[in-house]
Amino acid sequence: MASLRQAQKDAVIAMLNFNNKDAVIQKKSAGLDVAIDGPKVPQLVETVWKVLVYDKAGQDIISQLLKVNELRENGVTVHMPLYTDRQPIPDVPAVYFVQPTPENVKRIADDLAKNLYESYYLNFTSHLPRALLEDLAAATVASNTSVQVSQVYDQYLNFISLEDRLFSLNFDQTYRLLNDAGSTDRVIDDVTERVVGSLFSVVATLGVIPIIRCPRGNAAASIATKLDQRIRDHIMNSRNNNLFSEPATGATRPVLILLDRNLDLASMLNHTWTYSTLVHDLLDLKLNRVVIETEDKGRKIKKQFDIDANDFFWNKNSGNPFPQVADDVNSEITRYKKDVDEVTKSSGLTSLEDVDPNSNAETLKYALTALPELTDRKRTLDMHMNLATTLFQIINERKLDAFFALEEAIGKQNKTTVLELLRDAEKSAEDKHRFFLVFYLSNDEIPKDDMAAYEVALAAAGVPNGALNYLKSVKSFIKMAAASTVAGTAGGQKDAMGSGDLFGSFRNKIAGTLDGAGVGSSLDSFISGVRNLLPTRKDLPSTRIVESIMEGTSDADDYLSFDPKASRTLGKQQQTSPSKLVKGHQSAIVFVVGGGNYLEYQNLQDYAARGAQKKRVTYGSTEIVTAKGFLEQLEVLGSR
Amino acid sequence: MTIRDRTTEFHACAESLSQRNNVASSALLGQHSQHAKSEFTKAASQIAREINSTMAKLHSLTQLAKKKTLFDDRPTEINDLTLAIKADITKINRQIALLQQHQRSQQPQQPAAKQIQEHSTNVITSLQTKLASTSSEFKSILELRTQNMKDQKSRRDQYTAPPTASASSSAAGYSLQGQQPTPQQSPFSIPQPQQPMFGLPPSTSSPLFSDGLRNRSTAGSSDSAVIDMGGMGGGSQQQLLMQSNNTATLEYIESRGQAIESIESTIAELGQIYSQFTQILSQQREMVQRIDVNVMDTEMNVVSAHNELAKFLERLQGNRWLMIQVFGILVVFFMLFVIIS
Repeated sequence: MASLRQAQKDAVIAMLNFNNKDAVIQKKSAGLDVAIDGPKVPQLVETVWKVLVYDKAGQDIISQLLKVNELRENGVTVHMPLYTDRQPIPDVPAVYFVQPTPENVKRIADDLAKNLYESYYLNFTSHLPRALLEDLAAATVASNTSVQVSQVYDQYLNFISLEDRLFSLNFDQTYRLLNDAGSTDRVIDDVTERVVGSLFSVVATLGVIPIIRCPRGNAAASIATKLDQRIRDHIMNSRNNNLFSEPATGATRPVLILLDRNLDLASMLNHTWTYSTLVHDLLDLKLNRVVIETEDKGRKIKKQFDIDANDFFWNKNSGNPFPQVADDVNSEITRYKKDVDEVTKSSGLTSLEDVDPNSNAETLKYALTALPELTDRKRTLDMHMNLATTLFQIINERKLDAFFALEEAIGKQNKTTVLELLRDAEKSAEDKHRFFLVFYLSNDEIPKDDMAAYEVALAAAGVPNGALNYLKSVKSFIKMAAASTVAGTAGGQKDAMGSGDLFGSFRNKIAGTLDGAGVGSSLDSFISGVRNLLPTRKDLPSTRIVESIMEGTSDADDYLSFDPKASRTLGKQQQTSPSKLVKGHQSAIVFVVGGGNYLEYQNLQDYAARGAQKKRVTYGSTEIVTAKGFLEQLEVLGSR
Repeated sequence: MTIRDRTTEFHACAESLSQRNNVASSALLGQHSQHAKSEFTKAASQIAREINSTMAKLHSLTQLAKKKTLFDDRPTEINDLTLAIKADITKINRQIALLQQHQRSQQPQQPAAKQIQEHSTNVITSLQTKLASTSSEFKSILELRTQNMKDQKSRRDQYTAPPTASASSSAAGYSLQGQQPTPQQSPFSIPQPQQPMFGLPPSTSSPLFSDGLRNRSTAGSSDSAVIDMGGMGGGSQQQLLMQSNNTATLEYIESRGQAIESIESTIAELGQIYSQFTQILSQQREMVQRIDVNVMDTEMNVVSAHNELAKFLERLQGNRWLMIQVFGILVVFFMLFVIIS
């Protein structure tokens, strides 16, 4: 089973080639051939040049998968948003990739009426309802253009793969919508319906029918029920030509674990210490893109950085603690410099003795082939250098290392340390707020008068109390699993302050290399303040649930289980009997309803890599939300 | 067909609707044919097809060139193919240039069609990139072939030219072939008058070079005394000569030949490097863009901002006119008032 991202990419490429599956296969085999023995197998599929038209959703999906040059390889010459003023390009076919909404359909019909392109290949991100199909048909008949519509496809691709094992549905404010007492049933139904549609797409893209597990009695459960129903209906209605390939006997089906955000709120608010989580939390990583504002001679400059799927540095370091990453940036830069030196040395001549008619051109040629790779590496490193520097700044400004150290051992904090922190004028209100909420969630019993003292301190720090009010009410009727997370995290602090010298050496090294990378040399002052902390290994609640389900241990027996493939006569409740399900699973799709973050993603990947047998865990959520964003949602909920 | 494909459903739907509306479906079909392909598209797809066929040829050449054995060497086929590919590449190159010219000449006529222009520019770029990759592949295959030939030559030397002492005895054995050296011209070079190997000692008696004749060494080509060094794509050609009755001269010639050969290959490689440079330059442009680079959005915003400003100006002008009117009325009233009073 290919990764979700790869599967989606293949589907998009097939779509660009007019849903011609052979083209993809041919391209793939050609790629394989290159890897084996150099020259390419000729591509017999003739490239047809076409324009690509997408709406916002389509753009978000494609931009994560294909770069402009890859689009070019697939024959896309011009790509345009649907809602722009597009000029007619006659005699060129157009591929549309849009959401099935009435506005989009109307816009497409307008395009047809205006006779913009030669032929139209319409692809919808999810199922196009019959009513809209009829609308479209009516509009085309009216303008006498229905023949020009060459294809109408439902692509089932409405989710965004951020990384190989990470996807997002890119919704907004789902946690608030689902937990707000003020939300009407219609709103909630709407959200669940959309989630189910997207999850169906995920499953369809993978082409396998999963076994669905979920906790009882919350939003996740209702989504699971509907998804189960949806898949069943699909199989029922489409007998032999459905979207799911029949898995070979013996191949294990993945398990789709639906979780509810209420299970573990603390990990959404935690301060973090690994690279990807920091980039996400502090720099607001959105759709794999980071925007950093820097000040240059009084002017504010926005810099954009794209994190690519092939970014070697990101892939290597996204799960590492930050100081280690900073160290690695440095060593990578040294390596880069060494390689460059080597190339220059071998290709450039230092003395006339070296003039060797036989080898000279060879080395020059080698240098030229090495050049693109080197520039590529340089660009990546520059980017991470920038990111790391900005992170340093922010960490130092907000004293995040202190927060992180305290949160690592949150169960052991006593009143004085907490109050001291809350009263510390140097730290920002937001961080205090987060810290206190984590503290609140992680400790079962907080004495009343302590609580009062905390609240006074919080109010003095200028922290709004909405989120806390909300959490109080949540805590009163939901048993929080979070408390147990912190058990056994002794030594989290482990007096890491002593390792300042590690940073010291890093600072010295980096100061020399920074100039080359175009980063200011004033970095050392930032680094000196940041302590070298290493996070202790601990599993988040979500990871523990996933583990127990995948291993088939008895902890998760009370989770509901659906098997859309099994015949209905068995009845759902019968299948939940654990005896049938005790077998372990090799791959899982974890989906959190109501927002997820990189911390949980990392944690799951750590778990998946841990075992003797490689497990595959794909993580997804309705939205990938930062702690700040999540706090805002809580705040709104509490102030109702 | 999977459930994804709803084309038929759509067309059935359209069909039934059109029947309901009494629109003859034949009219629909007639509509479609009006879309005649433009010159540009036709030419471009023609070129694309040719590139594809060239690539197919290249592929078979690769397979031939990879064979390393002495005995299954089919120079005729290889040479024919290289010639054909070479011709193809130059032809395609010319066509692309023509197409580009055509496109440029079209530009002033349609100043509004920026997107058409973008489209055709991109088509040409993609054609060029494809051609460039094809020809660089071609070059690398030729290099491979040269390398193979070098290897073959060194292997052959081991057998055909044993240590100099036995030169005279071996001469008898080789006399037949030795008398008729048949130069193999490297087929992919631009045909140009062959230069006689310079510095040839006068003692070489026999007419060594049958100048310019492209007679393939059909008889005993695998171990003929004249060894062909495949030239680099840049139009090089080498001849190496082995004269069995004069080893000293032979060695001399050989060393000269090697020197020339290495120089030539160096030059060719340099040429290749330059072409690679241009390729890298052209690729740099669009390497790392994502489609959501918000240029389009910005443009949209700028346009709408402009519209808003225009609207505002309009309103302002309207206001000004109103102001003048009101003022005028006031003045009139004032005058009236003055006159009356």
